[in-house]
Amino acid sequence: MIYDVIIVGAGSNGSTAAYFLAKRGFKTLLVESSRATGDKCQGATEHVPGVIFANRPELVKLMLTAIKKIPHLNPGDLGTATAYYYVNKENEVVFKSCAVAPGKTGNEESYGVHNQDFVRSLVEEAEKAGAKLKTGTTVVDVIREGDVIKGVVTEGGEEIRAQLTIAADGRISTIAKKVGLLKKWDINVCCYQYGEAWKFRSEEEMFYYVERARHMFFGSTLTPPRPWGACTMSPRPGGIVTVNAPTSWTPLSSMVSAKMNARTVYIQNLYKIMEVKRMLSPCEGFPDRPIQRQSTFMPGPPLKKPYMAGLIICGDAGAIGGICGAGERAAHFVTPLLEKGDVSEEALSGFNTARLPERLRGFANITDKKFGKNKPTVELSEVSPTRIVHWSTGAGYMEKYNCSVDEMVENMRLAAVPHVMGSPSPKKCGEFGYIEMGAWLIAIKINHLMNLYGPILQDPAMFPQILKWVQKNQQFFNEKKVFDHPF
Amino acid sequence: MSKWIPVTEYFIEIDSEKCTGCGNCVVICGGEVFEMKEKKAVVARIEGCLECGNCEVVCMADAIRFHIPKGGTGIVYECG
Repeated sequence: MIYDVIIVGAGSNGSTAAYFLAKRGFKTLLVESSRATGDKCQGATEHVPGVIFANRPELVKLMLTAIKKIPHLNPGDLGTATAYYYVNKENEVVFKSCAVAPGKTGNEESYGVHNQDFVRSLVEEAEKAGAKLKTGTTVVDVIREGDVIKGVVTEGGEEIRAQLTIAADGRISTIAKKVGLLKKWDINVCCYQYGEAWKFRSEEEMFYYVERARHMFFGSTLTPPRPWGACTMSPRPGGIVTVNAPTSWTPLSSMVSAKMNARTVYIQNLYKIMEVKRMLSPCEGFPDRPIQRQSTFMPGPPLKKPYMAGLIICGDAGAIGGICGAGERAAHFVTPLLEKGDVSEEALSGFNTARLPERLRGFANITDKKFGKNKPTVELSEVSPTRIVHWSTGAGYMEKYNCSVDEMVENMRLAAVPHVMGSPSPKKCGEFGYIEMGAWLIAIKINHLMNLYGPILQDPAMFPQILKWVQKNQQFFNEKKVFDHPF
Repeated sequence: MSKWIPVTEYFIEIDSEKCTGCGNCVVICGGEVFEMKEKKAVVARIEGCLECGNCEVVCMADAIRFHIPKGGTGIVYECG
């Protein structure tokens, strides 16, 4: 059987693409290497599809449908209280604060779910829409006829043919490497994440030890040289808590030069925090060791060329991250081409921009003139935390408010406080809260997304400005400021 | 507990001729897969592999090749 589309990799983007393509009537095959879908998925995400994909109702509907079908999603479990921990250079917890309770972000539903459950649910939707799923099958090569990719070859030597192949096979993309579009990711821009899952004897014990904490932010010096790291803790029914990304956005190269991996940093940080609690209380219920480790990296800037005749590279494989969005964009882009039957390199070249979120597409031609200093800043009191994080991509923010980098930085610093810290008063939340949170949003997100979208945002006027701002305040961030000790 | 389904053939290949013994892979691996033996990196504990692919990225000598393991093998995350 010849398929219209083969999608390699049933992750969030692959299965989203499969859903939309199958729904539009294309013969779609989704190939996955693990025995069951979701086996290799890790971590948890807070989804607010209504905000993130505000102009794509179909995708919002799909995501919400998938999320709501997750069997053990216990509303509130992953989406209740949020606590922020700040750790200073000596790894002491110096400040803890509660933030707004999720459940709703503005007018939109928000859910924290495990990516594994989410992907499984999403694949079911894709299958229901008509996509065929083939698990336990690793793709090792592509079928080449001249310069055209005509399908894939599995490890058993089976050839599966299709008009178009979509490679959504993750960061270490076999296909992108095989066809020569990916040589090797840059060690300086790949960021590292590490996580663990802990099993407590009961949910009560879990909450006792992790205190319903969902987000923790580690202070300066712990993730050099990008001095801020964050991590998510996601309690899950049955007393299991998964902890992710304590060293997020730290380039691999800095880990290597500091002679430590994300796990050592993680142990220094998280274990310390948990240890405090354990030492102060009977430790029977505190597990000896994590039941699971997980590790990943975030690839560098998007692939220069994510397409060739009969093939496009989608999602993490092409370093356009994000959950579901990249898959939907790919499906949307290829639909008219498949209808015409034109999968030539020329026709697919439009994917270079189509793969990007709309708000980033116009940024290849950023100029200083466009973002003049005299533009008024805009009141951001209506901004939700999710939006802040979302807009802290920088480019989207500046586009929306037509402001300069400095103005954006200032606005975000101010806007971060009432929403994230729960109080607009500097007296209440402390200078530390203001600065650290503002800096976190700016440094982490912008640095990271600057890394990701470097080729697009590489306006020489922008990046140095942000770096300069961060450097200017570096000393201040590093000063030890002790506030309310949580324990 | 995350499971490990035995891999029938090694999916991490180290070209020991290219290996310079810099130890980047040992440093970066969160699953403690690598060890140094006679100034060369070797795969010592494949079952610890978390399949992140960091080893290939950090190898400055291009000596490590990480492949997706054979269908249905390798790590199975059970706790999201």
